[in-house]
Amino acid sequence: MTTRLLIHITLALLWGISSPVAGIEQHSEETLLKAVFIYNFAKFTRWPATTWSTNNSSLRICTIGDDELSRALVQLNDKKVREHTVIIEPREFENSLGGCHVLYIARSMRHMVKRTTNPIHLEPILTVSEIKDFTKHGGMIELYRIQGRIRFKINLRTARDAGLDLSSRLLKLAVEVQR
Amino acid sequence: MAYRIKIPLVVCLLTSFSVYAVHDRQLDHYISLSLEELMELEVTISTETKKPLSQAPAAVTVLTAEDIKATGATNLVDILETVPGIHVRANQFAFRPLVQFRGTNANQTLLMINGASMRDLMWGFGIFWKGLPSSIIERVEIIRGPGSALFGADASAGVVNVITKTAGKIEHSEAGMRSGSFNTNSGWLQYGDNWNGFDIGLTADLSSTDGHEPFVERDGQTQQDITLNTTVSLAPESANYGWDNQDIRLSVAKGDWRLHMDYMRHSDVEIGLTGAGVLDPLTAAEDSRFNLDLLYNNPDLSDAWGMDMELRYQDLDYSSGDGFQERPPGAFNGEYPQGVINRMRSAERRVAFEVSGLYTGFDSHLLRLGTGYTWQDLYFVKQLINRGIGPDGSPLPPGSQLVDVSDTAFAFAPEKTRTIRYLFFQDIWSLLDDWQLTAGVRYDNYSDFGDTVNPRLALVWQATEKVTTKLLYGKAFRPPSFQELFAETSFSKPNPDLDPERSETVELILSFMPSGNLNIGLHLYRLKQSDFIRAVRLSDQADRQFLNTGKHTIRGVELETKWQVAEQLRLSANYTLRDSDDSEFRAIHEPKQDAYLRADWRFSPDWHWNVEANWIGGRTRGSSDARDALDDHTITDTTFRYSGIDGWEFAFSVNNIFDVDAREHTASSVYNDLSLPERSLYAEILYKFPTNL
Repeated sequence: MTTRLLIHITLALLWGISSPVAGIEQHSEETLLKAVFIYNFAKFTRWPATTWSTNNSSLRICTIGDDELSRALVQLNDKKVREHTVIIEPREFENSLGGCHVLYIARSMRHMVKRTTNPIHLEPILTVSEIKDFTKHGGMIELYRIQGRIRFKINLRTARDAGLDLSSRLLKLAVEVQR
Repeated sequence: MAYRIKIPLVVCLLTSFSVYAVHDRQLDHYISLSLEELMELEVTISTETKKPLSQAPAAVTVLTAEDIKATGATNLVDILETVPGIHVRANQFAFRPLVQFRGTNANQTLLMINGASMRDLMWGFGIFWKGLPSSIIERVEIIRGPGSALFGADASAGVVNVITKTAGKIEHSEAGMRSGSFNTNSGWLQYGDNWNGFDIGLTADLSSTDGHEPFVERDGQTQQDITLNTTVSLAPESANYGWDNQDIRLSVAKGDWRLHMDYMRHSDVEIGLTGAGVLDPLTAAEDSRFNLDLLYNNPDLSDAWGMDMELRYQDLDYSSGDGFQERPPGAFNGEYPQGVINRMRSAERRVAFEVSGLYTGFDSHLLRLGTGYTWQDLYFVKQLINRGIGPDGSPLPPGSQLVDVSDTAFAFAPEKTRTIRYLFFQDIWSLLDDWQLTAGVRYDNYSDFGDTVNPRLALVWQATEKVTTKLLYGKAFRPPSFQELFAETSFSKPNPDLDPERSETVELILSFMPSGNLNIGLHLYRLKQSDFIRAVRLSDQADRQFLNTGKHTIRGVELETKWQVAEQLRLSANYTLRDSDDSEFRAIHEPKQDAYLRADWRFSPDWHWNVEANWIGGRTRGSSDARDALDDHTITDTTFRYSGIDGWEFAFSVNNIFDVDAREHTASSVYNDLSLPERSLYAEILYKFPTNL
């Protein structure tokens, strides 16, 4: 009994002192806000009906590479987008992106944008990134900050090629839409 | 988040759990907002640091450019009427929209543009105040309740801060035109770009209107006609309220520095009725205001310090043109064949400097401290009159020619300066995970009346994810104006020993968010005003004199709700109850109740439909006024906006759809009160230029 209690205390203590590693990382307000933007992008996107198999109604937001936002996205786990439950799935390699509905490409991938987006450019996967000129290099939505506000650009042609339907409300709020 | 082993275990546990909880709550809050709201997120006014509105330590409302656009509001004051607790009262003189909070007079309201007070030394918001065109507005931040602990003078009952579209924040260039009833026409332009690393912003708005020309059956002269058995009154006749507006703002920003240059001008301002309620069809007045602001903001001066600095200059000029026609030709038994004329001009300038720091070096404390200096100079006063007290202090003979009383003690104001020095301090202390205490105090020293200290306290408790409770206390002041301190008029004597008017507010706010789509807020307050400045006739004197006298208490309830019924449909509503005591200081024109209902429906992706209705009720007369109480009224407006063609937007508005005969209280000299605009129509075209950001 005492031993178990001690183990618990020790674990708790470790959890307390090593919190960043344990996933309770202190994200900045800005990062959280950007995560919720990505959540909203999913809300305003329609995937082809075939994307949703009857026995699997989860919405998969995959991440590739590493930055603060890719780590913060984990907090969206189990949130709902319409009837779909959000699952955050970090992926290791750009050739294993099957089953993703949304793909967040972290800043560490900035030299590999085309290599990542090319193989999936006809797949219904909404690609989002903070990498500069992302929408010019095959990406669909580019997030950025200007004067303390979060803004985004959209490459509508790329999204349409992939069979995705972006709501006009989203297009209206975008600073720039490439058609 | 660097914890040391020495820290007791419990603290570690609590802290890590609480970080989790705070994050979750923040995330849920963001998720509950619409994408439009997320894009506007940045709350600066209340404590000048970002935080979710529901947790800001005051009753804060933020209206965005999108909010304003949806309602078809063309002026700041149209949208302010939709905020609970605020009533915008049209004044008979020049149909000035006076912004009144919580049952008080407009001189208890602090109105700022980009943080700079609009108040002048003589006339409140300006003698020809006409609001601001909505095309220049990026957002409006409104605090109900006292703000003197942060902002100084005049913030007794409420604060309005208008943030204009400036360099670095203008994301696209656009041009628009609007045309409609009462021969109203306007055009505007906004431009944003980056030149060699400098952000550039430009807005320009030009407008012109004939005004709605309300019919006046009996005016102030009618009363005199009855007494003197003459027939010189111009009534029955319509009052003229036309005016033109020019508003140009240029801004440059680079790094931590910003420079704003603003120019506002009203011209051909028709005043309709004089202060005494006499029809004046002649006056074509004008004013201009020039502002130059240099702003510096460095949030990362060092690890723990952020710094703000501002240097502001303002120059103001008011002119009555050829003069106010205070009485029509033939007044006073024909003694004034040209009428009674009062020609006034004044100009003042202001230089203000402020520096403040934000210190984050203490755990769970956010400290802000600052100091400032303001110099105001009423440097030019000119007045010509043909009736009243002449330059030598004796009454002018009947039928006098225009006489110059400038530079005498009998002009409407003295040429004089005022300096203000101040210090302020505020601490936001996160007591526990769910509790936060904000304490602030500001000390002001005025060169004319002396010192004043105004504290505030705010305790915010996030009881659960869905319920936030705030308990607020604050003191505020309104400094005596130059007229009250120094100017001898035909009506009253000044008093250089006046103290400021004071107010003290206690407030309880409950916010409840039962689901992500529904927000409900309840505000209860008690506002005590004291040391009211009034012109009082003392028993041993013939003339009235300004004195600090009397107290007044207002209790009130404000209820507001916002409901996102579906992705395309949003409803919002609010209700205000103001319960003033019956003292002689009651603002008799203030409605006891008002209510507002608004629906926004995006019934197809390219269409936005807005309907809003404003009910004003329970306006009773003063004790010496025998007229029946004013009828309640409901004014309903609607706006359709279409944005289906790339780059273009089209809007069509109908105001006062049901053509309701709504009236605003006037003194009993204008016996049937003042009619508000009847049904009116407006159409708008807007083009957004493609961006190349």
